[in-house]
Amino acid sequence: MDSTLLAEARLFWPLVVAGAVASGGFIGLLVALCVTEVACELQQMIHDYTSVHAWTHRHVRKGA
Amino acid sequence: MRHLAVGLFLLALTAGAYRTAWSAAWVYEDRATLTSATTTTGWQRVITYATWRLTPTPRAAHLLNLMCHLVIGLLLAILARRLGLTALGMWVVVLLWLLHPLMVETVAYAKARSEQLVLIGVLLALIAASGRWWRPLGLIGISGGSLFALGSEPSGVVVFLLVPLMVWHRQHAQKAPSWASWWMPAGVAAALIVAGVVWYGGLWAVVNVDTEAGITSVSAVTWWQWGLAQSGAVWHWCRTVFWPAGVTPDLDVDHLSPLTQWLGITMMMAWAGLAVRYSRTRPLVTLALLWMLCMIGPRLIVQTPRSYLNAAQFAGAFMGLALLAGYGTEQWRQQWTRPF
Repeated sequence: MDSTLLAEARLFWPLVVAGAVASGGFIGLLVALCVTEVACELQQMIHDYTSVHAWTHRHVRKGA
Repeated sequence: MRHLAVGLFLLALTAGAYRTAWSAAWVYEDRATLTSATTTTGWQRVITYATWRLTPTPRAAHLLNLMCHLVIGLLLAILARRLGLTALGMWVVVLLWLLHPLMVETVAYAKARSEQLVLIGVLLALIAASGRWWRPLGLIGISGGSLFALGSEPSGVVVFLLVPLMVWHRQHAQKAPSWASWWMPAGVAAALIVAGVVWYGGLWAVVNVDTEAGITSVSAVTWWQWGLAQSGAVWHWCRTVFWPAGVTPDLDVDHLSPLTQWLGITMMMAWAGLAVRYSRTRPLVTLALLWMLCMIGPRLIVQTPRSYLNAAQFAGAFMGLALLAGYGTEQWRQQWTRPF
């Protein structure tokens, strides 16, 4: 598995659960989901721009 | 003290998020840009190329991009406060700018520095235009910022749209002498744009291509086709601002659906309509909406250099959305803290 995806998985669920537990409600869960989504996408984009391997992989896959 | 703590916290978050940029290598068009910077002479992109000659290694180039990103965050904070946002609104604007996934291209992709430099010049000019612009310091700030933007990238021409917009927005904020009417900067900007177009070779050369070979290669692309494709990209990036799932460095604009393109056109028309609607009741909303239109508008008609709207080029419009988010947050807070 891609190390970024692993990191994403590590980050995702603890934040969602923590947010839901801390707020004890639906809004907390939504906020946790949004923050986690943005954090994961930020991490993925930085990985894509700073890893030659990821960049090459993307362009080979795209056929460019 | 509290502001300093928040600022340092955001600084630490940004540095931590972009820590991998220190060891990153060149990607995609970075090497070609470095070669261009060392071999090209002339005034076009003179500031951008000067920065590339100063940073010939990936580490130095990425460090400079990160520094530019932080400087833009600081300038945005200054402008947000000057426009009347509260501390909460200002920090929302800065937070979005520093850590939104869509901004990664401007920071981690060294080639995108030219867009950062344009934005630094534009923001300097706008900060000057938002104050007593008719005074010597204001005029120096506007001229200096405009020259900096134009010397970084031709897209810096948007400064000629945004400075008059800012002066118009701030016309009641301070009392200007009778000779310094709000429309005066607009007249000067229009004259400069017309002079620039004539000097460059006429409207056709500006909106389409800059060489004979280029004219041949894009003669099959009509303005409408070009505008539709760019509108699709505008919708995509706006959707990504709100929900960044699936954001990618290699967006294929040619394969965006007609629905996406029409959604983009409709959305921009809605921005224009809302800008008129709120011009009296919520002038900051009008400013932010027109800001986005000014940043995107030229790219809907200018095909040179036939570059589809990318995330770095969308960064200027993103600032308008960030201002809206900052304003919306403080309005939302006021709503909830209002006594019943």
